[in-house]
Amino acid sequence: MIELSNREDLCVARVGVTRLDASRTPELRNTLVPVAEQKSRMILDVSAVDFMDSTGLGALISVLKALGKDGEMAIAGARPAVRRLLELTRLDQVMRLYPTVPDAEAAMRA
Amino acid sequence: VTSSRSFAARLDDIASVVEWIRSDAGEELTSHERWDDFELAIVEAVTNTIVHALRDLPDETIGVELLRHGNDLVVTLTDRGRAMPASLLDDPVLPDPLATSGRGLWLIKHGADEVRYTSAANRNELRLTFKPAS
Repeated sequence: MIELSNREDLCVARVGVTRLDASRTPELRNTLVPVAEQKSRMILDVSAVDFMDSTGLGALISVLKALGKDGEMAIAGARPAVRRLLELTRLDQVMRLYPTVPDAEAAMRA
Repeated sequence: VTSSRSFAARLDDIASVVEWIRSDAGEELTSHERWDDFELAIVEAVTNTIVHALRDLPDETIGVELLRHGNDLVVTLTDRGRAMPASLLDDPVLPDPLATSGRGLWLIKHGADEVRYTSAANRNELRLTFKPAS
C-alpha cells in the first residue's frame, strides 16, 4: 500500500491505493508514523488516490505531528477531489501542496 | 423510484455502498464536484454509523435507501445501534486544522443540502437530501 524511499533527511512515501477511507487509514498511520518519528521532512505522494475521507485527513495530521515541532510535510500530486478536501478543511494551511514529487522536493530543499 | 439494500457494517464495505449508489444514481449527479461532495457525505455517514453506532455490533447491518423526491435525491441510512444526540448535527464546527478527528459531521452537512437525524424504537435514521446542481 505504501512505498517508501529515503533521500538523505527526506522521506518520500507513495500511497498505492485509489481510495483512502477508514478501511485503509489505520495501515497508513501505522506505517508512516514510526517513519516520521525518525525524520523531520516527508513528501506524501497521493497521485494514485482518487478519494480521501476525514479519516485519511486524520492520518495525515498524525504523520505531520510525528515529524515533530519543526517537521515539514508536503503533499504531492493531489487529484482534484483530494485537493479540494484539503483546501475545504484548511489542511492546506499546515501542509503544502505541490503538483509532483520533484516539485515538492525542490521546494523543500530550496 | 426507490431502491434499497442492506450492507454489512464493515469498513471494508464502505466502497461497496458508494458503488451501488453510483450505479443507481450516478447520472443524476453529473457535475464532478457535486459527485465529490455527495460521495464524501455518504462515506462519512456510513463510517460514522459503523464506528460509532454499530461499534461492538459487527453482525448488524446498515440499510441504505435511495429515493427520488421531485428533482431531489434522498439517501436514507438506517441502523439499530447506539443513537447519537441529534443536536450534534445542528451546527457542527470544522475543527482546528491540526485535529486528527472531528470533521465527519461537518463534511456530511457540507455535502448534503438537508440533513435530518431521528432515533426511535431502537432505529436510527439519517436522511440526506441532495438537490440538483445549480
